[in-house]
Amino acid sequence: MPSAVQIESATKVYGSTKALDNVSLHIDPGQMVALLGPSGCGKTSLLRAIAGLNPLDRGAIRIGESDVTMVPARLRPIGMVFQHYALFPNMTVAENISFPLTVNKQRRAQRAQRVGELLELIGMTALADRYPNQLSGGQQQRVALARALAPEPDVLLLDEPLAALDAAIRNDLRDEIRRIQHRVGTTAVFVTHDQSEAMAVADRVAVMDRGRILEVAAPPEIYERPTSRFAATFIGSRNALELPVDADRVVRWGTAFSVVAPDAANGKALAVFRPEDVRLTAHQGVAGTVDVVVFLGATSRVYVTVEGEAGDHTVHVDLPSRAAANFVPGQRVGVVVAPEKVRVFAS
Amino acid sequence: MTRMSRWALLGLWSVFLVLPVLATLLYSLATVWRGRAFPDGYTLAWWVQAFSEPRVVSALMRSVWLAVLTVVVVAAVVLPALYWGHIRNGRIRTVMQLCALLPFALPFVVLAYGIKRLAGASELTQPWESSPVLVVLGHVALSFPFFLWPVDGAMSAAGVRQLSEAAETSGATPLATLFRVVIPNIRTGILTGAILTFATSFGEYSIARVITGSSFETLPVWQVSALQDTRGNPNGVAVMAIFTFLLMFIVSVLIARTGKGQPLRLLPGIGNTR
Repeated sequence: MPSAVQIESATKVYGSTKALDNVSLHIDPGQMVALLGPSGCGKTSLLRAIAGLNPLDRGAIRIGESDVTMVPARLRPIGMVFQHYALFPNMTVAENISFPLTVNKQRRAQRAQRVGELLELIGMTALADRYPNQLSGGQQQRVALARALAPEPDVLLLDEPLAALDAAIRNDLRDEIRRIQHRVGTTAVFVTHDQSEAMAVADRVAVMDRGRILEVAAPPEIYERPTSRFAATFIGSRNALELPVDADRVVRWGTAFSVVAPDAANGKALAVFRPEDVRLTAHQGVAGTVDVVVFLGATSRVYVTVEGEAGDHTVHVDLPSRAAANFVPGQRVGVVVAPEKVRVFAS
Repeated sequence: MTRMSRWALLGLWSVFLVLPVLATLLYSLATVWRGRAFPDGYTLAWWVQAFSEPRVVSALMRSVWLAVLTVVVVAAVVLPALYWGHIRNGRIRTVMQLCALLPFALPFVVLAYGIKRLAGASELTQPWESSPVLVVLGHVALSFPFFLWPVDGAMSAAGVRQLSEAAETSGATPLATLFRVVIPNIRTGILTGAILTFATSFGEYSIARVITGSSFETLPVWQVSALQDTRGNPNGVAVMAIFTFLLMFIVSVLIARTGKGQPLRLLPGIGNTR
């Protein structure tokens, strides 16, 4: 299957910083890819390069069959949703959605029909004649989504579309964007710095740092088996322990676990594991003391400090709240982690 | 401050603002006005006389054309530059803001002599030395800050950069973006800037007087000479002053009213979520 979007060796330099450093990415038709990373990692630069708003210094971008590297934004088959909505304040909801069709000189009847479909899709038929300043943030972003989808673009580009919204609306709109993208079947690129948002919305997540894509994988895979140190520490609230590498190239945390060190590791390695993969026992594993138990609803998070020769390590452990009720601060416990759940990276 | 004293202060302030206009209005309607609070009698003769005097009417027309031309040139220069400064190169805005301070650092007369000397310095420009074209140039230099400031503010408030990008990714050409998206959303700023520029040029005396002498008599130039001339017509000057005032006042009110009935233009996404 040919890729819907193909980015080859994209490079963009601002002054002395590389916003994009030789980035390549292929996106299959109908997929939603999340570009995930901290601010300044290049995710927005990559999105704007696909949109044609920031031309690349080097590299190429193909959308479908055609090379669009040198094509101006207005001629690319894209629709874009911005963080701050960017609706046209002088136009009503219907006029905003109709704008891409109007400038493409579509017939009035055709336009009206398409606007009607989109208003229904976003559930705002009743608000067609409102102006943007009469709408809530969530409603405005829905209109922006409809406007981006109006010309039936090959690629939908979303630049942190939920970042300006209240937490309560954010999850609803996130799921709605996902639902609409599925229904319409368009290929989409979704930029976010929020890893749970990326996981929830995307078919594949591309983790970015310092202008490069570190890995691209489906959400469960990136969550279970991150292959880069950055992804392992950036995604999920993981435990990360710096531990010595033995002479026989084994990384050992007392009796809690021992795993083979990666080849690149010299002297020290970073062992990363998820809070739900830690087991608290009565006597097995390394001995530690419960610091505090934080109730989070269905689960609770138990913080345990383990005294070691190389200094103390505090780990957090996620347990079903009923199980966590057995632990109280000050209690002595044993900590065990299954070795297959531990990822080790060169330190 | 008590309620009473606030009203008293406001009253004093209004008297300070309104009294000169009122006095001028009365003077333009007075038959004779000798050392009393109000004129001895009222007449429309001065108004009729002023508007039937060819010299006054042509001065008025010259001033109007001068001001309209100034507004057009200022808009044509400032609008695109400012727009580019907002969407691509922010340095343009800094340079323009700095240039906007220059007319206030130099007395207008100095500016006028500078322009005249400069034009007289080369063979090529000498024929233009006392031409009205130079007056327009002078007025453009003088009045462009009054266009720059409101339009720059309106562009910032509307977030023209984001709006332009949204239009661009929607497939709009640069012209469609400008006329359908940018200008409608900064219209109040443009109108405010236009009326301020118009008023500055319309009422300007020094540059017109210095550059053209009396060969291109604008309304302010006529007004000054009419006051200096012992056989002049001071009531006619008052007529034109009131006429100018009313003209500006009505246009300002009309502009202020165009903003109403339209949605408030806040920065998209900020302050208008409910």
